[in-house]
Amino acid sequence: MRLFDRNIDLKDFIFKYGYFFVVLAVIVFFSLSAPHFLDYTNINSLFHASSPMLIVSTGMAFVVMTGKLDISLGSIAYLSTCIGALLMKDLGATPSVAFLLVIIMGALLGAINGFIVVFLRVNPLITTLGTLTAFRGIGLILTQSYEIRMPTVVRAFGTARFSGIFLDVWLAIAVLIVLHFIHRHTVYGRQVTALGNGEEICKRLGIRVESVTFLTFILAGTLASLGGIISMAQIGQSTTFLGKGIEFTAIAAIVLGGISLFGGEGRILPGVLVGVFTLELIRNGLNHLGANPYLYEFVNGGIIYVAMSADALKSRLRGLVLLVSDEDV
Amino acid sequence: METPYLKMKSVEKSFPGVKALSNVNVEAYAGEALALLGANGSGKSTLMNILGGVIAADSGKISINERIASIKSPMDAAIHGIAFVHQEMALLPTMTVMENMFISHFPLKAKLKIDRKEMRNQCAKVLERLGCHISPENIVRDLGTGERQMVEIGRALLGNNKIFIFDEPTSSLCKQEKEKLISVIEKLKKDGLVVIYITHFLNEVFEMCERVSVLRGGEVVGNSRIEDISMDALVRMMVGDIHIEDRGSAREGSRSEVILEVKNLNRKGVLKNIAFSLHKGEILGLWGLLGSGRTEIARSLVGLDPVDSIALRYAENGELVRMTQDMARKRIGIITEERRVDGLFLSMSVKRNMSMAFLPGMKKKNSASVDIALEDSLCDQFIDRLNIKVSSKDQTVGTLSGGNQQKVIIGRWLEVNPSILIMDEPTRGLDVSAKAEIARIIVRLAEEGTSIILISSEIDEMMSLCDRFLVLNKGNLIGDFTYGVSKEKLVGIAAGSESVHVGGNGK
Repeated sequence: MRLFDRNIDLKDFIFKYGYFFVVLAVIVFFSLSAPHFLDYTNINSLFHASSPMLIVSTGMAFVVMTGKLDISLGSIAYLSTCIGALLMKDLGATPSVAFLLVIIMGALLGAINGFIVVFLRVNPLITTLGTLTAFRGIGLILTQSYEIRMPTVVRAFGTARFSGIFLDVWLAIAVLIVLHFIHRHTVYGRQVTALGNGEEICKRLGIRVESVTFLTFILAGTLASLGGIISMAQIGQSTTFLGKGIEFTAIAAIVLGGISLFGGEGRILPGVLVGVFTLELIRNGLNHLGANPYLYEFVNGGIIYVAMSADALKSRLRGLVLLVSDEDV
Repeated sequence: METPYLKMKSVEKSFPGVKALSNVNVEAYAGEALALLGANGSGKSTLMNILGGVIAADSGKISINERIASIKSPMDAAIHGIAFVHQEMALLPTMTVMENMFISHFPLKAKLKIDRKEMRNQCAKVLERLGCHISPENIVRDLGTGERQMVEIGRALLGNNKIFIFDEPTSSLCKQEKEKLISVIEKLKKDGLVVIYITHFLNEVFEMCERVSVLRGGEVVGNSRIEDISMDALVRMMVGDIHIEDRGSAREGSRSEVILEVKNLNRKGVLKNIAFSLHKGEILGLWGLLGSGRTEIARSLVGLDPVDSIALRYAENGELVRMTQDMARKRIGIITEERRVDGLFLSMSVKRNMSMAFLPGMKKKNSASVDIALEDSLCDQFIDRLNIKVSSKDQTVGTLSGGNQQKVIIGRWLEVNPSILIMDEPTRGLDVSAKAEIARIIVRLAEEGTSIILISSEIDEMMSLCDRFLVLNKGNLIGDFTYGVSKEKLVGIAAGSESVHVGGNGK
């Protein structure tokens, strides 16, 4: 029995920390094969590039922790920023007013998802598959698929730095910290994790499952629009590709960060940071090696596959651990 | 006479196809424990779920402390000081012990931040009171069943609750934990609170309850003070008049040829070196408490659960032949525990449900298509034979009553006609007459030569149906008895009070 216990511990250890060794190996590999990989400039720009993804992934993490998915986040980012861009271009709104309205728009679009899921009781995946197409469609109609250039102030924001680090990186870090706090230390945050353990159980415990779900979709929508703003500011214009596919990368990132797709599991910090960082690390590293840009898609797919398998394997092994301790009672 | 603290008056509740509660009146007094008794499916859980706000009654009144209480949600119940310790535990496995206890009322600092320190302190105090040696920071997933039950009980003890509902709290507790719980309940009573205690263990009722209410088939058949009633009278009340007649002796089954031999069945942490044989036409009962491994054995035989090792031999032309679980699956039918979850296709018709396991056998000759005429006639035949009450064979299974649903599943297997049929809780949640009917079908099948492995939590049903009993305790096969063994012996051994070696009296 002793020996068996130790095996379990080893498994636990691998699942808990094994991942960090993998990341470490990746870093070592790239830093040896690509000379400027570990340069300050590169690391700085690596974070710069991943800041929209960090923010969107945080929202996605909340949805996933409740045991659901929101695959419309990229389209929310697109539609809400389109509206912001149009407000500035056609109605002469100031960037700060536009900024605010974009965020409100994101919350609203998230609320639409939440409404359909909670009140019409449509499966979240189906719901957001619908809005994924619909929201982008509305955006394309509104802009007639033209690109809209940003005013200078906004573009300056996209490349502004504070203490040598890009402003949007600071923003992303602030978002991560605040949402980590919300997740770990507020009633709402704990109920998000509780929901992922099973809604029936939560109902019996008197948790307002509907409100928590609704709020979570709003939160994810809001964060998606914030991510969209940063992305738009970085590019300098509103493009039809903005946010496209970002939701799937976000799902991959958070699973890599140990947030289980089965719900109820994982943390914002370090989870989201680690996951997004890893994906960006590999993209950036392959870039430095001068690899075929299409190779990244393939590698990315492979990573997602491995991460998902590990997630499934983990919950299977957990089941085993449980039974063993049952017997020891 | 003092007035009851809690009064449930004329409570009615129907589920589609079954009347769960009719005109139920129950009263509980402060400083006393009320035992709520009844066979499985008698409506006691439904009644308590109404009190706990989990489901809504169709009609009826609840008054607490002489005031009408409207309980529409678990939140309302909590406001009225009702704490519910659920039988199937309402725990959040990925979260810590303290989070599980406080999930519906976290202590807050500055109205926003959860006060972890406060939470940890209170939680530790409750655990201490329960004599439970786990840390508030433990993840519930990593706990054993007994410890989990303690977390569930601990949650009820937090806060200012007045009415405590314990739904079979001791079934997964070890002896020390049980004693601790009893002393906690004594303390609750001393503090003038109301305890409602649901259990199957009658001795516990006499040990710590003041009053008893007995439910049968959704009706209250007795309210009494405990000193005014005997254990025999209680049992009679619970079981009622409809009783499957005692047979007097075991049927031929257990002395006939062996049809299946199981050896070396192991699954780490669940089953330990299980070996037994099954005779032709025998009803073999697997008896043990929840989690003893009885269901796992049944599922292992047909490969539904993974095993570390298993050796199966099956009689073919009078000789025992080695076979794999896959081969076993073709010869063994299994009726699983949760018919609505993994037994039936609820939205499909009776006919489709029945033919589901036998589709390959219904193929037209030299064709891939199903012989509809054969399907219809087989279905009609078994609806008739099993006396299934349906409007037509195209009726949706989900709209049938529990007993008829169960018969559809049995009919499904009769079409296949396996030589071995495993039945896991075939009468759970059925009313008394449906139970008796299923029991008759089981006996008839055995008489026709089908070997049956029966699992049931109801000892009386097991006693009257089984020719032989295998008793399990924590994954070990600890007893093998033939018909005629006393009820007390079976219950005692399964609960681990007596130690017996395999073959105690059977062989």
